[in-house]
Amino acid sequence: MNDLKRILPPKRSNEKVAESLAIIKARIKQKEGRVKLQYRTILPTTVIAAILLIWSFSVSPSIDQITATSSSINKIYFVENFNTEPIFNLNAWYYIDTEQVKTTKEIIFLEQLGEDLRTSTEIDSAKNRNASSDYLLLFEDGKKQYLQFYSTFDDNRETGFVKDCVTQQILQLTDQRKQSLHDMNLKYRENNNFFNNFIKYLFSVIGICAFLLLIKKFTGYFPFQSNRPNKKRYFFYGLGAYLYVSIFLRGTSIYLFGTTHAIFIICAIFIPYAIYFLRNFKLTDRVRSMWELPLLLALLFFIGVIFSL
Amino acid sequence: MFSLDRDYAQYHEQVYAFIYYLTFDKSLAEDLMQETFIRAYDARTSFRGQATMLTWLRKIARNLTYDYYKRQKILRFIRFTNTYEQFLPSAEELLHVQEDVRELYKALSQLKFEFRAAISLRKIEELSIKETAQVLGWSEAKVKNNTERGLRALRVLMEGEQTDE
Repeated sequence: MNDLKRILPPKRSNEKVAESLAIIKARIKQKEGRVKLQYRTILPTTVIAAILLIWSFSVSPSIDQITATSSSINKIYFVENFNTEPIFNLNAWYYIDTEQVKTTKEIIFLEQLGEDLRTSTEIDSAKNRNASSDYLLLFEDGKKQYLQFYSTFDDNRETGFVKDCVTQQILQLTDQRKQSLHDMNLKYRENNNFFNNFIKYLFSVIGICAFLLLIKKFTGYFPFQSNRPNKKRYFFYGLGAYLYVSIFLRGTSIYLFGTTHAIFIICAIFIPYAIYFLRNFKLTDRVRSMWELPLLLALLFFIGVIFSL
Repeated sequence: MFSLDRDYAQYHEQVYAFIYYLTFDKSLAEDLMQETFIRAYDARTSFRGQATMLTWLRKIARNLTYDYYKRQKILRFIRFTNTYEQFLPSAEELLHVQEDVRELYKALSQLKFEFRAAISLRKIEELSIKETAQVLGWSEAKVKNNTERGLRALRVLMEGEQTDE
């Protein structure tokens, strides 16, 4: 086994040695430009995402999360309307908690309206109704009574939904009820315009930023993103995407709000893990770059758009 | 403290040689050597001088090479490819080797990773048992044991080659 001492590595030329050093330096430079994902950043990410998940569903109207299906809605009413403007067009669910003391006029009115709906007699079948009818959905789960108002006038999405429902009855509203609904509609529109929503979400995002900056201050790491200061911008891209999806894509459907939240938060939870493990198995060597996150966000936009169609 | 330019200039040959003995593949050794220095640069703050810089670099190199083979093993399993043939050094790889020791290279390349690591450090690089244990993260007894068993396996392979001829 003395021959072992005669084993030599191949000779490397000076050019090769220099080239290798240049490659090492280039790769270090490239690596420093990458988003650094480690367990110590993934762990806070998960915690933050979980907090956001709970937070988002607790601050968002829980009523939006109700899956209104043909079978869960026990009655659908539509109101004859010969005007060009809908009587009411409240693209939101209202609910009345039967265990709570009703204090506001609006809730009292809704309760009365719900009672009217329950006791109303069927006047006619829903066949051959006007295309621009206004609708009321009544849904009861034993504890709460839910009402949704909308018009086919400007939301065709809901029309398809209504056609699926089995029980359809007509309710003739009194003039007083019509007026009350009209007032509610105006009030709703005043409170739910784009500017108000924008301000509300802006504050939400500022709140999240402040919260995450606080985490950064105490832990030294940015959850979601890099621990390097120059990567802060990715974090804000992420929030920008969230803002965009929340404001611009939301509102086209009663289901979308929950969907966009879920997609965003699920991505926030799983994407860092996925990237971490892919990198660990060296499956993403070719795609590790500063464009990685913007591309993922673009994908997120795309998914959001698909869901909004 | 690790300095890329200084330590590369000083140790690149030893690190490259060590990886080459583990892989018998020039381009792979080059890649893993580069990766070793990148890893060392990333972890430069964690080097506390408990071992020499070269030992530390060799340790990183060993881990990277081991990880590489582990991944290859998974890939081979997935692809159902032959196990040994892929790791035999090609004729091109052995151009720099003298004719009479080529069989030794081939036999070495067929040893288990642990045996090859022990033999390359102990018998080719002539490190002490203690230094080898530090690089490989083994006990000194394990170094001795693997070196002996590796040499025995090498002898068996060499005798097999001669019988074949």
